[in-house]
Amino acid sequence: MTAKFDQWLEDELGRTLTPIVSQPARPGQARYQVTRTHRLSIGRKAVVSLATATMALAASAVLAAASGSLNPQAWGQQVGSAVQECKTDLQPGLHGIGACVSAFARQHGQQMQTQHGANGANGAAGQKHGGNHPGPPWLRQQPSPEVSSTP
Amino acid sequence: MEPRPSTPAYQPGSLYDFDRLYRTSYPRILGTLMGVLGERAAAEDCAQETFVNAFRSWKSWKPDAPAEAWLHRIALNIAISYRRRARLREVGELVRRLGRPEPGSDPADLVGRDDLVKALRRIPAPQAAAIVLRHYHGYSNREIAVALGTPERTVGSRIAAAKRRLQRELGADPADSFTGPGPQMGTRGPSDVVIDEGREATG
Repeated sequence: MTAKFDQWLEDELGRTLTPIVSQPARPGQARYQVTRTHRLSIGRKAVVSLATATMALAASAVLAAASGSLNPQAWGQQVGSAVQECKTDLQPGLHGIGACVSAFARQHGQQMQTQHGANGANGAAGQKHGGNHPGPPWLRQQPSPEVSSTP
Repeated sequence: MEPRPSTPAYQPGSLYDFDRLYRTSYPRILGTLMGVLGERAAAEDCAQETFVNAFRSWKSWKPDAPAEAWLHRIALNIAISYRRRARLREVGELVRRLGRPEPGSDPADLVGRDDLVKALRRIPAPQAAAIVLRHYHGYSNREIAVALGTPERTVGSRIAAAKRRLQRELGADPADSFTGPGPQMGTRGPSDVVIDEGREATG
């Protein structure tokens, strides 16, 4: 264990390893970049999923407000029956049932609003479920002339 | 001894700083792994794996120890696992070859392999790493302790033991003063790897 051996060791290591160590490293070609890209794509997927979930929640809230029920099956049934009625009542030569369905939704919304208001007056339970809530803006408008013509 | 680059502090979790750490440390980690494993391809593979593992825990890295010593510790664990797998493969090959004529040495295996690299391959990985860290990278006892995961006070004796073992592998009597490569050097073939799993594990 001498200084001579240490010196020989350092010379040999330098001769063997310096050509390897002196080569530049390029982070762009490193394998960990794959891990980084994978993580970024996972983050992007999470953002898209969150946005989709938020939009679905918002759509559910709108449908619940329009139908007056939290049950999604009720929304479908009510809208389906309204569309069927509007098709039946459609006069020959006229096209489109949009105005008819829209009128139904408005009328139904007002009915639900009145009902919830009455519940709110009867007890605390009505208030708890938002009985005094004025409802969405489109339900607060005056009924259109089509409402009266609807059977 | 290789001059050591002075780098400003790294911020844990910073992607920019990790790229900077890679640029500074990758060649030195590769050099250490080359010393421990003795094969360029294996050293490059293990060096890349080191940075993948380090990147995964980069956010939780604590700057109380030098970043490069931390990387060396990861690299050393990977190198030990690599050596273990390589030895198992060699044993498997040996069992398969039993009863058949022994194949000659592949000339490609012998090209570019000098005696020191061969000897470093035959000693336990932590000992080989300690020699490279001290006599090539110029690491302090504290940095070597972090890299090997051992107490700082035992580093000196470990390096002395590593050098004694290396001298034995090189064919020189440790009791005598070293006078350069002895007549026995280079007489072992690549297949004569010493299996010393227990001593390697304890370092």
